[in-house]
Amino acid sequence: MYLGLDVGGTHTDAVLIDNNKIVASFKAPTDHKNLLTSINRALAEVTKSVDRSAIKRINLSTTLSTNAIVENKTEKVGVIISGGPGIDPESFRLGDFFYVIPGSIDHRGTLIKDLESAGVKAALEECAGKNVRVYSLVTKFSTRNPGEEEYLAEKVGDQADFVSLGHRLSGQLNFPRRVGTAYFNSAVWRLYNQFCDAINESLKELGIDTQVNVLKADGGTMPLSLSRELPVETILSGPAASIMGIISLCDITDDSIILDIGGTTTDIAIFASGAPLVERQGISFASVPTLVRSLLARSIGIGGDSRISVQSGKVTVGPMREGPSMAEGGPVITLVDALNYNGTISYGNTAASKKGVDEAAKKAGMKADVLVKASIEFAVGFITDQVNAMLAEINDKPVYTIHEMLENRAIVPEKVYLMGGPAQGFARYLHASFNKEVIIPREYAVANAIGAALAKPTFQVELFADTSKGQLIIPNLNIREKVAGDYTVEQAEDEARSYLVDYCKRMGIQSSVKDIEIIESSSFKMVQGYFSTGRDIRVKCQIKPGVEGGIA
Amino acid sequence: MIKAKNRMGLIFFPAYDWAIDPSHPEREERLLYTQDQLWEEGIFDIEGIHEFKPDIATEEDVMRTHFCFPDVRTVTTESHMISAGGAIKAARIVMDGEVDKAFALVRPPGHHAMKSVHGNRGFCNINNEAIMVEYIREKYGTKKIAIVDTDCHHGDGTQDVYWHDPNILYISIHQDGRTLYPGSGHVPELGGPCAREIGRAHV
Repeated sequence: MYLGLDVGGTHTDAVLIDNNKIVASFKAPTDHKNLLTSINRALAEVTKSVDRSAIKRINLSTTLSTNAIVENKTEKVGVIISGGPGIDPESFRLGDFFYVIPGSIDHRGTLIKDLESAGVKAALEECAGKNVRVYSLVTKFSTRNPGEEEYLAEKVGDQADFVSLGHRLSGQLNFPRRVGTAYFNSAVWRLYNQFCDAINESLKELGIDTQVNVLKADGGTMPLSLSRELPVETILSGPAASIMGIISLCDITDDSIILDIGGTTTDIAIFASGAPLVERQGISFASVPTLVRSLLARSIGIGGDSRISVQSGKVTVGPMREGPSMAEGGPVITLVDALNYNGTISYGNTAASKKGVDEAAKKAGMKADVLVKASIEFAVGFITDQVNAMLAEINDKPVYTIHEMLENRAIVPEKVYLMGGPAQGFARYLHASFNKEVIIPREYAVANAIGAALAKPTFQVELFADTSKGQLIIPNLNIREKVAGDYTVEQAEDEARSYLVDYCKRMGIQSSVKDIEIIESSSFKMVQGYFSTGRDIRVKCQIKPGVEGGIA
Repeated sequence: MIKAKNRMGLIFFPAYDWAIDPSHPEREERLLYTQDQLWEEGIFDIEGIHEFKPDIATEEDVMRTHFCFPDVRTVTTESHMISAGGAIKAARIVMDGEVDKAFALVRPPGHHAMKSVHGNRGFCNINNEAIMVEYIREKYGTKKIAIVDTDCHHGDGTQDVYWHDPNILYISIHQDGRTLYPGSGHVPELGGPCAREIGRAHV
């Protein structure tokens, strides 16, 4: 049996799945002031009628780290960075303990200028004085040469309870994003680890002893134990859960549009040939860009509870939400009320909807039917425009090889998959607007928890080899090796694969070898003078995201 | 987040799967490190800087600028059409007002390709800049255009294409031709009779 638990903005859902069937489910409003209580309750309730020893795995999706960031409940972090020449790091300053130390590494990983030790000392003294206990250490091009970050870690020593090193968080390039990733990783570390301790306690009390994983923003899972070092990966897994959910509920094989219409927002995701797309560089938290991998999803300000406003005869919907629909006792008319009015759906107190719409129409000096029609048209039009904009952006994505320029097919969705509460009444309007089949999966109410339950582990590594320097590095696995001058890209691919397999074994990531794939592989000859000096080899290797099984 | 003062479009096309031949110095590595630097700096995260895909130049675009012997297809490969297309895209997005400034970082290069093209010359087959200039003139009507070539080699191809054109000012800053390919680009090279008079009047 697999247990999936999703802590959403509005509800906490839990499901137990056995042999592709839902055995038990639970749904309750999320208590944001006490996430742990919500989780414990969900765990207890969903497992109360089953043999707890039969639970093989628990996958959790939580908003704990997200909330901590949004509510400013994170810990103060000593951020010590070194950029050398380039954009002034002040422009991506984070937190109150931000130190830029002179020093630089070039794009090949060659140390050009040592870190100025006086600057490091001064920074550490100031942090110690202010009782800063967690640190983020990042240098430019540390993924080619992590030496300086390691030097900084050494200097920090026991002044820190926890240290985040930029190169261990991702093999990707982008110094400002690396700084952001490292900052958040340290900022939520303590809170997140306390949460892990509490979860382990709860499970012990419930008599559940099994593998626990956390859902990440890229729709894959990671063992709870490993997530303790990489809490940044657990932020914002929300849309990921619903996307994995829909994959579990529907057999998606074509280019598709996925819409999850919630109360306040609508999440849009695009699938290419049945697979979700991934954000090119990484997700942003609180407007700070990071390197955390995530599924490509956009959130727009239209939902079932978006208020309908009329200004100078013009009808708009959202982005504000002033409480639930009038059908649920809210103060102003919303999209749900409009759909109630024209009979598309019958949700809650339809009489209240009718009254609210009639009054609002009278006040605006227009007929109620006109108001309803305009509201629905606005909402559907807005969603359609946003989806098309997203598609245009995806199809216009820059590529760097002739093969891709000539071969890359455009993504042309064939179907729309629709999920989310009462605003599902949208189906026929969306069908008209997109001119495509609209499919609503059956168990959408707990789709998020199902997605969490069935999500498979993911992990990504990047390997760089410079055969003229005779060096190989896999930054986030902390691997550095010597290689011969005739090292080839094929050897690199094999090594990347085997290191990943080995890492999975050591970290308890339950993954099958067949899910490991090379997603990028290149080899460029380097020339100095008239002679070929070596090859610059780059390989990206990952565990493919996906779900295990599905709900029939 | 940093905001750019002017909206800039960057067309980056390193043609990683193409080279003149496997050991040729005009190689993919040239743009690889540029790409690394752009990514590591976070250039594309700057608000106002956007990365675009190149257009693919058509035979017509090439024939507007060159005489190709025996024909366009024989003297070019897709890489050349995409590279020239990158230059065209850069022009297009500025002229259409999508961005204020544009930069095309593309390979293969073009400034050694002359008016008559028989094949490769100095690692160039077709002249990206000239194709872009003729595209601008055709689609947008702009006649007077200045080309500033800061490559260390004299852009003899561009000079050849616009030798007689009084509406194009071609400025090249390069290492003396007596010590570097292509051996030309000396001070007295001021253009043909029609173009030279204008040039002299303004100097």
